[in-house]
Amino acid sequence: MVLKVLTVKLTEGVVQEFIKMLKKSQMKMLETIMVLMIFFILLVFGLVFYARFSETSAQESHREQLVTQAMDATERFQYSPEVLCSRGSVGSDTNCFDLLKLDAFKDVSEENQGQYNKYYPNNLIEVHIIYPEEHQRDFVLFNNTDEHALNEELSFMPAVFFDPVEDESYFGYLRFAVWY
Amino acid sequence: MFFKKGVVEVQFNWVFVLIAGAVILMFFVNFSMDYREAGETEIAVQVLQELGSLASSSLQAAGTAQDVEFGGLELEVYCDPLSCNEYGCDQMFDFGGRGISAPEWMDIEPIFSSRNIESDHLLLWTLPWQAPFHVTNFLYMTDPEHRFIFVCDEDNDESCRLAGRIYSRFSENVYANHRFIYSEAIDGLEFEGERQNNFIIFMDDNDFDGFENIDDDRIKERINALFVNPDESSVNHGEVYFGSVDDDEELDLDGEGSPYVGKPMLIGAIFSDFKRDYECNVRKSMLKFLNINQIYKKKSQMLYDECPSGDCEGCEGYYGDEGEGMQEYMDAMEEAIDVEYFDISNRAGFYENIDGLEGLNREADRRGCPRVY
Repeated sequence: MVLKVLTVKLTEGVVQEFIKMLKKSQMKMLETIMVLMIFFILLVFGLVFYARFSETSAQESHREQLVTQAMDATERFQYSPEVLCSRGSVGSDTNCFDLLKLDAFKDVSEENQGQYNKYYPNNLIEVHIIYPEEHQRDFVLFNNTDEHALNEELSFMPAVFFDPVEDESYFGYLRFAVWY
Repeated sequence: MFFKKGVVEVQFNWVFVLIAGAVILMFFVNFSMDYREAGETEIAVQVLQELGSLASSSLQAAGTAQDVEFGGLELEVYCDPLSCNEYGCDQMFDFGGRGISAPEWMDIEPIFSSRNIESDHLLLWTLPWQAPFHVTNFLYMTDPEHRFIFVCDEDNDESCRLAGRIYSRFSENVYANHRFIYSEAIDGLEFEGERQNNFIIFMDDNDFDGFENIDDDRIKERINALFVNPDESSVNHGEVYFGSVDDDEELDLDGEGSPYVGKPMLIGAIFSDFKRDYECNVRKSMLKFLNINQIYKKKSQMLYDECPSGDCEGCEGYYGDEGEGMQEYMDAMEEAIDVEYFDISNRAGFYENIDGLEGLNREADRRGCPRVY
């Protein structure tokens, strides 16, 4: 009887000890998992924040790149022999555009759109002749804009437009837009 | 038994810590490597953007030579002639081996450049190419580590006269590293620390054996040769042969000759290390020419149509109606170009019509008629 009681007590003690130990390991395990969870939550927060920040700065850098490209394209256009008033082998007049060449350029750039799109990426170039009044004229010279683009960066350039047939010059400006 | 379980628990903890630690460490190592890679690519993109803007603005100022300081510049510039089509040619303009393509406008503008530019200085130069109207400005790029050595045969006046003319034009670029020597004096050539020697030889390749006479092995290490062979009718057009010196110090010519039309194009060949790069840029030049020629043909037609009712009555004859007058010359120049490959198929014919068109345009101007170009 005594032996039986002793055995039961001993068994209870072992079980209690085992349960106690199990609880202790569970607690430890739970603690470790919690620490890891918090660590990974913080890590994910950090990564999300970094990704958002990188995305914004990448967008900004892309925008800057497009603007630089557009400015370069504007500059290239100002010196383009395709449209400038020419003086034979002497060269070309800066800021003077030959109206007949502009008309011809409009056709040729449409025929070779793929090539000129590389030259003037995302550009819209418009001609505005404002003086004298009887020669006022506005037209789109070149259009390489994406219909999904939402923003535009603008620049304007005063220009003289020369009509070789009438031997007259008119005043106006060129409007360059880059869409992105 | 309890003690044993404790041992297992402690060991399991350590294994767990090690695995988790390794995973976290790998994650951070990977992340930092990607970050570094992205940073380097970003720097390369920025540098190329700056170089692209620089090249673009250089193109506007014909005749200007520039020495741009650019610390640790490692630029690879090459152009594939087989990629040429009606949209241009694939141009590579890579900084630090990042595999970045050039800005798209470079697919159309001819850029005659040394293949590898590795220096703290970038040398840029621009010359206008006229045929006879202004077609474009050629952009030339190299670094001071490239030495350009002009060689002619002392006993051949014609060879030296031509070499002298080209050298004098080339010397307008005050920053480029260049020399003029007679073929007989080539053995006296001294090494000056250059990375590459480009010899421009105004002799037949069969008559030239100068490379064997160079004493300094450091010069022989990297030699490119360009043999200039002008046509009999004019020095303004002809052929160039590209070659290099192989390990056995033998001259190795790269296939057949490549045509040039006009001195600026010949200077383009001088700046190009390889035949492929040169031919690619010649094709781009032809593509540009065809566009501008088209514009002038249209302008001639407009003048022909509108002059009778405008201020230029009586001038129509100069411009001609569809294939006449100046348009006849422009058509003939177009015919001298192989439009499938954008190659010059008949350079003498091309040049003859340049003269014809120039004469008629000048005549129109003299008579008070609007000039076409």
